[in-house]
Amino acid sequence: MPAAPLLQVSNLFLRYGKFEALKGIHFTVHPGEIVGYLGPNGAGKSSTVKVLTGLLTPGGGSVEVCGHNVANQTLAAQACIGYVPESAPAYSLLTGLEYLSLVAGLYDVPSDKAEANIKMLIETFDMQKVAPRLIHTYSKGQRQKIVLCAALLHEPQVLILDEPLDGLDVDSARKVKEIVTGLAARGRAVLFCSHTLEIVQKLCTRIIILNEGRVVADQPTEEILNRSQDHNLESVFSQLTKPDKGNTDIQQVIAAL
Amino acid sequence: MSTKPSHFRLLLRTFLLMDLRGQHYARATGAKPGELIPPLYWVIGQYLFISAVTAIALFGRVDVLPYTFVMLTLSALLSISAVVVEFNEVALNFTDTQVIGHIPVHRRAYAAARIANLIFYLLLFSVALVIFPAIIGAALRGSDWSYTLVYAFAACCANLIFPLLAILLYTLRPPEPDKSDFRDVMAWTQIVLALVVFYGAQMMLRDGQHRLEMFLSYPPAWMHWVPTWWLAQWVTEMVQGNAPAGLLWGAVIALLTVALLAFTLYRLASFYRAIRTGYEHLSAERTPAPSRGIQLLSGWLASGRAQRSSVQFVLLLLRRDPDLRMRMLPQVATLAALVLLGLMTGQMGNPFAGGGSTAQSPSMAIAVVQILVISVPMLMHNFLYSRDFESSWLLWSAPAGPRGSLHAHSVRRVVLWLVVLPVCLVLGLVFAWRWQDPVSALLHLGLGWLQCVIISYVALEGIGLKVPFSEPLAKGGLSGKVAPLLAAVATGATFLGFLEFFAAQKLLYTAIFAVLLLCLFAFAKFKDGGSFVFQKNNLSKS
Repeated sequence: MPAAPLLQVSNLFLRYGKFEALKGIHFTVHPGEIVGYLGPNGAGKSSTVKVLTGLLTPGGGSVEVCGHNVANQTLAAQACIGYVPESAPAYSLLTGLEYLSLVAGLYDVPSDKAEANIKMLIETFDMQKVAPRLIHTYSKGQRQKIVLCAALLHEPQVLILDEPLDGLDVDSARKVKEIVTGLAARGRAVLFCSHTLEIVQKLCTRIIILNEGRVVADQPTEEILNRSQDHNLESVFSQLTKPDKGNTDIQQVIAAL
Repeated sequence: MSTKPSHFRLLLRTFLLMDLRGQHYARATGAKPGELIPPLYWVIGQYLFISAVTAIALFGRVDVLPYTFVMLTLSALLSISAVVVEFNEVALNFTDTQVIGHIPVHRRAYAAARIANLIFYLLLFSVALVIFPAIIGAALRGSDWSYTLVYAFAACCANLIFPLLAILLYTLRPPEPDKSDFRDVMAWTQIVLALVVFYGAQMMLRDGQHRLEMFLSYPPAWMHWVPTWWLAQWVTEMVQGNAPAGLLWGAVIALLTVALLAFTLYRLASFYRAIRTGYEHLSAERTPAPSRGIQLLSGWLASGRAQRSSVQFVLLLLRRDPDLRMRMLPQVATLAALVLLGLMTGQMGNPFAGGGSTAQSPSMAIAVVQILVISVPMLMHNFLYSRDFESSWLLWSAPAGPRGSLHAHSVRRVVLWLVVLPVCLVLGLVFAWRWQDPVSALLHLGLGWLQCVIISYVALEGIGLKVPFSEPLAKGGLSGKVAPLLAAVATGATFLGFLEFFAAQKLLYTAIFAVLLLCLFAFAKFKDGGSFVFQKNNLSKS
């Protein structure tokens, strides 16, 4: 009997005024799965993530994280999630260490455990020199690393990562991929949103493709790749999301520039 | 999961830490030593100064009750003003949603931390506003040492109660981050408050016939309905020997303050929850494209393609950024208050008409124009801040000449031609109507306009305006950083005002005054011109 899903999304609807961003989305993420969540710009990926993390209230449907309904048991559901938001927002007037201590405190991580985890993560991402400085002075990659540390330090059951490798150097990106794979192997569930298809293809066990607020594909990675003759995710993605609607000739653009 | 005290403590500690660091500490590496003082401290300094000067001005002129009333009213108004103008930094911070919105913190813990942060902010200001009036008040006739304690208690309550009421008013509406109508209403409320403060202060300083004492000693019936009057009466009764009954009322005031705090906490908790999920309210309506008017204006104000784009950008944000509009309105309020004051007190005489025993004093007519001159740096300074300050990389990196002076000049031009000039035109109409002499009105405003242009060049350097919309607003940042420049400009403008007052006596003197201003203008333009011409040439070559 398969383990119960850690993340279950059922018939999710979301509206911004007259615009329907999500139109009845279904999917689940089980323990040990790394699910790639793909879609063209404006497809509804970030909106989904905001609903999953309790930042937005859906117009219909339900989301359960570790068995907690996000609408009714928001705090319990949020406690199970480690979230890396797009663009890595953090309080710029705190130092990296202060920010991580704040996050550990808000997630009720016992202080000795928090201290150990912060030290370990800081060292893993080579942030020892940077961590005592104000976040305001960080580079984009350093900021991303601090937000990644914040998402991991309370040992969440579900990881929701929105472009987690954005701005990271090669070594840090490799470490993040190793951590994600390792945590999944230990039974955590990962939802991995990215536009970098090569990484998604290598890292994810299953891929969900979203287009105009609807799920257009939800299959194991191998099966998705088999949809195209060249066994390439980019071809499948293009085929499913039809990006050539604009009929723009790229050669003309290049010539004009 | 329930509300946890540890969450409250952690968040409060974080908010206080960030407040006390201020925006300049964040740039400590490479920032000038003078910038290391957080802007919050500048505001505290200003409040110490204002309260001390007002208390000294009233001392010996009025009794305990009117003294207390005026000081309590001033203190409450300044507290409300601080909260209203910097609302997004003080009571509501949309950044919190992005940074900690996904973390399991109960909304009551968050709201409690924010309100405790607000209380800290208000009490910090209260100390600055209370300390001198409380000490000076103890030396008034019919007062004693107990005044210091009783007044401090009453003032702290007033400084909490009125801003909390303002916040409650704000939270009555559903939170829609892109809607600014209610904030405009709040801004106009502040304009009315500014009018009251200015009118009251001017009355106090100009009261040669003891009308102020008479007015405050025999107050009209409506004044008994002003809440600060009730508080002042309570302070007076406590000090003058009615302590037993007064203590009971003191307990009632304290209870009321606590109840209001609790209710505001409840309202803010609901409000923050609504913000958390409030993005659903955002409509997907299209923002209208820049109007033909804006395109024409930017073409008229700019001398090249790059500057036209820069001016158009500044104009668009002036139109669309509700925070910016909010920051601009108080300056207009000051002028409106002075014009009304001048009209009501008969001090709006024509300075060029020559003095007669029956002629009205021209002092306020000159003061209004000088206040407009003084407000130019503040108007320009407002453009330095934005919630989207991180997007200013575009302006820094675009080829806009040395130190981004193209954009700074765009701000200068927009302020001069689209804010100051319309105000000048309205003032000109008022003067022409009042004096029945359009030529004098034109001359008076022409001289004022010239001074505004000169000050605008000075402000470019003085406030360090390089790239607009490039700094985040920190508590007190709006009025704190620019205070030394404003003091210098105010001194200069007052001096020029005196010169004009005397120069207006004879046509020859007026001509000399105008030539002096033209020389100053030429000098300012010459000093500024080097880099600007260099940059324009570089742009045209590229």
